Order: sequence, then C-alpha cells, then structure tokens
Amino acid sequence: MKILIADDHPLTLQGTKGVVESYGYRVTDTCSNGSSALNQIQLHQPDIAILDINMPGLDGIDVAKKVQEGKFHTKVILLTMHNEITLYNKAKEYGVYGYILKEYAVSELKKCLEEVLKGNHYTSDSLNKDLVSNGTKGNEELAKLTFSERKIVELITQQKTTKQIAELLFLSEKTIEGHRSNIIEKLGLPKEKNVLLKWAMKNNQQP
Amino acid sequence: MKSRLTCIMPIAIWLLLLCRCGNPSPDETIFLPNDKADTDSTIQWLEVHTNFHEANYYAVFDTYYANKLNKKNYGQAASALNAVVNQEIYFLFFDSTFQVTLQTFDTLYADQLPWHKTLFVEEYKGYRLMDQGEYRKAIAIFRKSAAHKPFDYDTYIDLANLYNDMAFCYSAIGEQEQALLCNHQALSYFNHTENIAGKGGTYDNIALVHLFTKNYAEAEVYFDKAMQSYQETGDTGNMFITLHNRILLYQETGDARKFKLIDSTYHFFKSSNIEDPSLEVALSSFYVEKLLYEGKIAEAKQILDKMELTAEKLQSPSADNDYLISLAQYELKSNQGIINKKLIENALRATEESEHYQNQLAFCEVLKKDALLHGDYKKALEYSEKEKTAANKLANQEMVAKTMELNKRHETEKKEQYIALQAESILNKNITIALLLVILITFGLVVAVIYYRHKQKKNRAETQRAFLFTRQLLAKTEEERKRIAGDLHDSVSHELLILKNAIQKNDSVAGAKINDIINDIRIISRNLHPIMFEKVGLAASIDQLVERAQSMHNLMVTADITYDASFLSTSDELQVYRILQEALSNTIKYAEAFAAKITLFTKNDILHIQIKDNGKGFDVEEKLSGSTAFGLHNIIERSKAIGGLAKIYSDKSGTIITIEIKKPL
Repeated sequence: MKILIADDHPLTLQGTKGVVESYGYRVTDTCSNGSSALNQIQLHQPDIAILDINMPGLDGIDVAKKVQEGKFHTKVILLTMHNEITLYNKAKEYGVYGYILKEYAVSELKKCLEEVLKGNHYTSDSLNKDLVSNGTKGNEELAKLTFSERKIVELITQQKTTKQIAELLFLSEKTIEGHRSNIIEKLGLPKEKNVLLKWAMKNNQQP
Repeated sequence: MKSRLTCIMPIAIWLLLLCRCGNPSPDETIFLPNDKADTDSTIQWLEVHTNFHEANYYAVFDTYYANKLNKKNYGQAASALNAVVNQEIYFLFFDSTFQVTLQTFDTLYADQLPWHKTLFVEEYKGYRLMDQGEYRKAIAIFRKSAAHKPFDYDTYIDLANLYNDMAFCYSAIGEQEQALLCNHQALSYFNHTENIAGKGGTYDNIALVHLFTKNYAEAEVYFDKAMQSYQETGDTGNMFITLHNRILLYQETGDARKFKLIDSTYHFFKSSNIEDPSLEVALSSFYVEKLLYEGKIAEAKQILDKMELTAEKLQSPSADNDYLISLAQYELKSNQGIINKKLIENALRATEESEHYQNQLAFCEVLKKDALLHGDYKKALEYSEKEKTAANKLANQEMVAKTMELNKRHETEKKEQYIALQAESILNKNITIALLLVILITFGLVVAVIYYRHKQKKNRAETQRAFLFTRQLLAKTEEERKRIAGDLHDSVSHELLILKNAIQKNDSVAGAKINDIINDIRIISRNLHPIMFEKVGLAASIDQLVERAQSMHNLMVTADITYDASFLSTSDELQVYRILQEALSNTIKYAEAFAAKITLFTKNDILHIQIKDNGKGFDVEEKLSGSTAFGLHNIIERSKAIGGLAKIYSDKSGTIITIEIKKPL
C-alpha cells in the first residue's frame, strides 16, 4: 500500500502527510510540484496519489490527465482550495477518484481514502452542497427542480402561456414543453389538464 | 501618384511664366550700351571732342590706322575711322586727306565687315553732301543705310541718327511731312535706348519742322525739349545749334526777344571756348545782323572779317553762304549796296538748284533790298516773287495742313499705342497675378495635403499607440488581478487553513468562521480572475458565469456557445469573458430583465458574440455621451483592443450587444 502526496505548500504537505499517516497509511513519496509527482508515479506506481491542483509546473489536473493517458493503476485524489464546478468536471473527465476541499480534509480525507481504496468515487460533501446551494430555502418540493424549471414555474404562476414563457426566457416552446413535463414528473403530479398551473397557484410563493 | 501630380503642376506653371518672360514683344525692349571696356585706348582718345583740335590728331589716327591695316585688323581700323568721322560731323569740318583714306577703306575693305560696322561711311558721305547743300543726294544715301534693321544699342543709335539727319535734309528742302516721319522714326529708335542726347537732336529737328510749317508754339515746345535733353547730358555744342534754331524761330515770328537771344547766345558761345568754326560762322552771322540792326556798323565789319577767315578755313558751302548773306546785309546797311552782286546771284542760283530754301530766302531778301536801293523796281519785284516762291516751297499751305494732320495723327497714334500698351501691360499683369494666384493656391493645396497626410499619419500612429496601450493596459490589469487572486487563494487561504487546523481541535466555532473567510476569499478571488481560465477554457468559463448569474442573482441566462478553442489567443478569450461579464453585470444591475441569452458562433472566420436581455433598455447615445457609461465603454474598448467591433442596440423591450471579431492572422 503506497501513497504519494504532492503539494507546493510545505506546511500543508506535512499536515496532509501527518493526517494520512495518522490513519495508519504509509506515505511513500512527497513532492512539491507536479512534474516530480508524475515522475514518482511513473517510477513507484503508488496505489493512491493525493494531489493539490495549484502547483508549479504541472498542476494536479495535468498530472491526473497524464495518469489517465499512461494507464497507470494509481488512483488520483485531488485535495484543493478550489470548489469550482468547472474544475470538478475537468477532474471527472480525467478519471479522478476523489475531490476534496482542503478546509474539510481533516474530516473527509479518512472516508475518502477508504472509499477510493474500495474503488469508489468520492466528492467532498461541501462541494456537492456548494453546487446545489442555489436552491430555495423552505420549499422542499421546489428544491427538487432546476433553476430553469423553477423560473418556468414562476412564470406559470404569472399565468403566462408557453409561448410567452419561451420568449421571456430566450428558449424555444419545445424546450418549455419539455421542462413542463419534467417538472410534472419531478413533483409527481397527476396527468390532468392545467395541473401545473393549479399546483403553482396553490404554492404561490415567489422564489 | 496624386501627390506627385500636385507637385508637378506649379513647376509647369513656373515654366509657362518663364517662357512668357523670355519672349516679350520686341517693341518693348530697351537696349543698354554695349560694353566698351575692351575698346582700344587710342580709339577712346580719338573719340574725345576736345582732342580733335590737337595738332597731332590726324597724325595719331594715321599711325594707328596704318598699324591696324598692316595687321589686317579691319574691325579696329573701322572703329578708328568711325571715331574721326564722328568728330568731323560734330564739328562740320571735313579733312580732305582723311576723305581719301575713308574712300580707300570703303572700296578695299568695307565689304569684309558687317553692315553696322561701316554705317559711318555712308553717314560721312551723306554729311558731305548735306554740307554742300545737296540734300536730295544726301537723303538718297541715308535712305539706303536706314533700310537696315537695328538689333542692339549701337545699331539703334546709329540708325536713329541717320533718320535724324534725313529729317533735317527733308526739312531743309521743304518736305516737312517726310521730315516729320523721319523724326518720329528716329524717336522710336531712340526709345529703345536710353540715349537722351540723340533724342535732343530729334526734338530740335521736330521743332524746325514746326517752325517751317508755322506751327510756332509747338516749335517752342520742342526747342525746350531739345534744350532739356542737352542740359541733362551736358552737350553744350548741340545746345548752341538749338539756340541757333530758336533764333530762327524768333526771326520768323518777329519776336522781340530775337536780338537779346542772339546777343546772349553769341557771347555765351565765345565764353564757352568751344572750337566749332561752322557754329561760329552761323552764330556770327546772326550777331552781325544784330549789330547792323543796332547801327554798330564798324563792329559788324570786325566780326565779318573774322567770319571770312573762318569760312575760308572751313571750305564749307553753308558757311560760305552764311558769310555771303551777312556780308550783303552789311553792305546794304552801310548804304553802299552789294559790291559783288554776281557772287550773291551765283550763290542764289546754287541754292535754287539744291532747293536750300532757307538760304534762298536770305539771298533773295538781300538782292531785293539791293535792287530797291538802286531803284531797280523790276528786279526788286522779281526777287520778291522769288522770295515768296521760296517761302511757299519751304512751307506751302497744303504742306502745312498735311504736316499738322500728320503730327496730329502721330500724336493720336502715340496715344493709341500708349493705351494699347497700358491695356496690354494690365492684361499681362492680370495674367501674372492670376498665375501667381494659381501657384499660390496650388502651393497652399500641396501644403494642406501634405499637412493633412502628415496629420493623418500621426493620427493613425496615435490610434495605433492608443490601441497598443489599451491592449497592454488590459493585459497588465489581468495579470495583476490574476496575481492578486493567486496570492489570495494560495497564500492567504493556506495560512487560514493552517490556522484552522491548529485551532480546530479546541474550537469548532472558530473553525467554521475560518471556513467562511476562506469562502469569502474564494469569491473575491473568483471575481478578480476566473479560476484556472487557461485550464478550463472560454466556453466552460462562460458556463460558470451563467451558472453564477442564475444562482446568485436569480437571472435566467441561457448560453448557446459554439466556439473553437484555437480561434483567439487565451488573453483575447479572457477579454471576451470580461466583456460578457460586464454585459451580464449591467443586465443584472440595471435592466430589470427576466432573462438573458449569450450566443457565440463562428462564421466566415468571424467570431460573432451576442448578449441580449429583455430588460427595460436605455438610450444608447445619451448613455454613451454621459459620464456613467463606464461599463459600456469598457465593452467597446475591450472589443477594439482585440480587433473587434462592438455594437449596442437598446430599446424598451431590451438590449442587444453584438461583437464581431475577425480571426487574427
């Protein structure tokens, strides 16, 4: 069982190493930049590589890409300050197993390591929370809907026609129709006429 | 090409002007005296009037002339001859040896010289004939020479003098019309030079014509003109001729000033020490008349004796005549009657033949008086008739009228010529002014064009500089923001992280607080610079922008993006991102829109970017000229900096911003 840790901040690196070792894992390599991390991965083929994203030379995502390209069996966990959905999407693209925000490392790293070792993916709870944090508070049913869907519900409440809604949101009527049926499905409403309007009027509250 | 044309135009106009200046009409030319600097010193000496009375004058000439002939230098030989001829004509003294020399030269060498170098030979011949009273023959000679065309200062002067002489001859034989024509020709030739002395002679001649045609007032005017010319040049010799002629005028008009003028002229001549025997004879003849009039017979006799001697020396028929007339007058006055009547009668016959009417008149008068004295009334009547005929011949009424008319015509012609000349000069001036104006305007235009081009170039350079500056400024700003974002994110966040880890075990509240701070820093840093823009690219970054606008500002934004990542450089992509960010931010802040849409697509190597909303809109022009349009100017300037063009359209149904960017080469 070999673990590699790469971080350009020496203190964070030591901290992470300490935390990982405190779980009883053996840290075989520590690197302060992406290039040496990639070298070590090629050389020692560790089971897990815990990588920071911001590093001089190659960054964590670059290394993950190389690992995927090189078909190494090393599983990559990104430990980062960035909670950007775009970066997360990129990371997923390159087959990253874990994505953890540094401030929650102490509480999440143990679980993450366990899951990844099992071959599962793990994403920081806080990241997930952040990604859906745009939801409305209070109304659980509305929270099930996407932003667009909520907007459509809002306009239905204002008794707008599909055509008007399409114009207002710069979308096609077809798209609006699609959204409508999705909403009905998500809310588990019966298939009857104007069911969505009735529901919307009943739950008449501005998001 | 155009600028070259504008350069050539003024040059062409200058050339045109130069051509005009180079070809003035020949009537206007004034010739200046030819350079005499290379004239031989001996010839110069021969030309001085006072030297003519030196004893060795002819000896000096002979030596020089023989020397030049030996060397076959006919040009200078002719010049020497010319000098002597001028002297002899001036003093009306003709040396017989010299005459032979001149004739020899004429027959042997004159052909080898151009016409204008031998003109003096003809003049000499003419003068000889004039002196002998052979006016018609003299005219014939002068006419032949005067047919030449003058071409420089000397030829103009020479030919003018010839016409002068011819005029005198015509005048003497009573052909006043011809005389006047010749005089005007002489004047017109003199006008091509600035020779005032020559003009004096002509004025004198014109005065004589007027005198003979009984146009006395005009005669007086021309005598004054002649005197003025001589005074200007200090030509005392010719002045006496004019004075002599003026006496003739007074005699003709019976002017009381006659004897006074005779007296003063005679004494002035005597005191001036001018050695001019022919003039002396002529003036003496008047003086004798005056003395006889005053009854100073003895004194008159003294003068007469002197006259006889001088006339004898001169061997000049006109001097002889003068003497004969004076002598006759004396003999009549002393009541003894003409002693040698035969001599007078012969002289009268000679003058009749040569048509010298002035002398003819004088001879008739003395003979008439003599006849009366002797009571021979028949003879007296005969002479009286002859006198009348001569007077008529000198100036018959027909001729007088004709001459007057001629004179008038000449005056009118002169005036017309003057007017024409004025008109022409005005026209010339106008043309010159017009041309100068054209040149000036052309020059002005050229300068303006050059200036404009220069300015344009400068402006272009300025625009280019401004463009580069904006670009650099934007790039630097982005760099700076990225650095600050990086510092915040990497250093501050990490420090906070370490702090959190250090205190977490004891204080979870503080830990949560620190998490909040970290999140705040995240937002700040994200706003400063899109996180890892280079990594995720423009399209994903826009998606994120859209996501955030929806989640944080409750604005429905749809994005329709078709973008090839290699179309723009990363730094230009970042500017596109900033433009969209700015536009979206405007929509969020001011538009009160329900939704916005971002479209990106490439067509024909042009990247089309559009962002529109359905907000309340604004007045674009008013907003742009106002002071609160930083956001809009930001969009326009950033577009320019990446080689694009932003168009903003807005009304109350919403705002549309389009940007078109050509693919960079």
